[in-house]
Amino acid sequence: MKFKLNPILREEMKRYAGSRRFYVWLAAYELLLLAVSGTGYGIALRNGWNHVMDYSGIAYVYLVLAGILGSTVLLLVPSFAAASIASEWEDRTMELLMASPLKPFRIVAGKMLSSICLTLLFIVAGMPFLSLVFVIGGVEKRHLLELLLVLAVESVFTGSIGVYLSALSRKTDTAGIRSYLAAMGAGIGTILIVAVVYILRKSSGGHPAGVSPVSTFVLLLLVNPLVTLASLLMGHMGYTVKFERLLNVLGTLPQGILTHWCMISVLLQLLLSAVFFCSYSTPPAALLSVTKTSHTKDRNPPIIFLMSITFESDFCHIDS
Amino acid sequence: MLKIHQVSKIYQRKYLLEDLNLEVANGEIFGVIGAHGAGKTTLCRMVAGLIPFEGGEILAGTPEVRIDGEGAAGLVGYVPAEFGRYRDMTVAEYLEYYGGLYGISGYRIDRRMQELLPAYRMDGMEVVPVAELAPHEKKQLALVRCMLREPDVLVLDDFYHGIDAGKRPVLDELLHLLQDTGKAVLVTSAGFSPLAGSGAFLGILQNGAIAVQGSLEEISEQINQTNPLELLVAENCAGAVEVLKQEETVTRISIDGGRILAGFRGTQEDQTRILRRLVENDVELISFQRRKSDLETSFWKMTEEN
Repeated sequence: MKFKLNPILREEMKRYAGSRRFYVWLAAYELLLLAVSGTGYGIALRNGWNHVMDYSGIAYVYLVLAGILGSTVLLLVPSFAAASIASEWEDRTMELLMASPLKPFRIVAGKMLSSICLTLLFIVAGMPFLSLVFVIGGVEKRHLLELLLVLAVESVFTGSIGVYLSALSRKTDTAGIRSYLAAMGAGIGTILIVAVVYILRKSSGGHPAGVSPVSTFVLLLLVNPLVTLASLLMGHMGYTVKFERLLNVLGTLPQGILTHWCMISVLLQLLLSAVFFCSYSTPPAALLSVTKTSHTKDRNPPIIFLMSITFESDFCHIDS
Repeated sequence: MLKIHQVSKIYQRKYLLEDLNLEVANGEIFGVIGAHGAGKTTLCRMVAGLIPFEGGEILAGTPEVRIDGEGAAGLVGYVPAEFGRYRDMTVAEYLEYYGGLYGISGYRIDRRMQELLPAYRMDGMEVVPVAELAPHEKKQLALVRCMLREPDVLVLDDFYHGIDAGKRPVLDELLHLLQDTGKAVLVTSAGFSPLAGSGAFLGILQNGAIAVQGSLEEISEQINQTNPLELLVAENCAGAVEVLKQEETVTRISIDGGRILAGFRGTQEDQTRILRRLVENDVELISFQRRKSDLETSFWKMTEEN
């Protein structure tokens, strides 16, 4: 049986592998991680001169680095995927893509896969800095593997949302902005919603002490990639109990969900990704309008305009 | 073979195309001429299987296959009006990319390129960046791309757009090559002159259907029929006017010294009869002819009227 690689994936990988800009960005990223880990490990290990070793300091460096990798995923994946689809429209090459035997589903999947692969390149590039923590200990090999797996899942999740939103955009800039909003919605928006509900319900009173007013709303956090990552990392650090207590403050949940929060949220996010994915099998007509695409204007609420002038559209283009 | 039967397309609650009929046999070139917004590009996209349509059917290939907006599966090669931007891609990479999309890769794509590039006058251009190609070279490359899949039908939207007149013969030659290899080719254009050298069978797209069909000469004649008769009279102008007034096929008459212009809606027989009657009535004619305006102007006048 012959395995045929998605031609879009193959082509994008060839392009980026041959582009100088990509390696410049990668090098900059590595330098950032070097700076952070260098400072972190340096400070943590300095205590060794006093013969009082604070091993837990190393753990915090690990957490910070893992946090940077997590944010990288959240920021890069959606915008790569969104921008690469929108740029097909901008470059007027989408029509021919549609006319090829490749189904729209495979086109979108290819774009998403290439953005995931590229982001995972960045993640894997950061692994060596994380693995320095083995010198001291406290983190096991399987923890790094778990981290990589969870980051991969987050890539798929944020990628599928970002692509879903950008399928409607014809310009790379607005596509990038919309996908950022999607990522932030999942990462911050869900926390905000839960916080607001908490405050509202707490202030309205009438709840017996010890029982949290939010309860089921907290389940919304299952789709929050940052919370998933936090639950994983806190588990690595041995702070599982702390994590559970934190969630209990916000809402009472069955213990089963609390103990397996990471696993459940990963599965839920993969399920949602599949749902978003299946919605891409729209026939070409729905995505290809009869009107001249050069006059298509993306309509965005004012906040997107504000964001677009603060964000560098450079981020959205990884130009060869 | 391409057959379009009674096809309609509704856009924004109006009929853009209504009961359109069109047939292109193998080895034939059909040129669709229409003003902007007439529906040429929509028609092309429908034939390429990109958009659905209401009513009628489109059949392509031998044996015939229905095309229904779900893709044309390699039967129809499509060259859109805009070539598109390909950053940092050479000719070879462009063909490899589309080859990959079309399911052709590895040594097969190399072989196809070796066969097709010389045939389409692109010999030795494998390493040229696509962005540096001249407009007509981009069209050539687009044709090569289409021919990777060996389709039976080719749809070339606004093929001559942006090509200077001096380079049109190059593209004409390629169209003839396609003709010789037995392809059915549908070309669109916004005017007559680009298609003049291609020898295509022409059809004018107006009000959602093909209003007039024929070779360039036949259509010219039909269009010229809206042109007035022009008479240059040496003597007996009054007599000429009398003769003309008696003719039902003559509409308006304007006189300027010895020159008479008469709006005329008759046939060639009517024309010869008028000429004979003028001579019989002692009109000293210097010249008598149907005013020939250039094709493009007549075409625009015609489309404006409707």
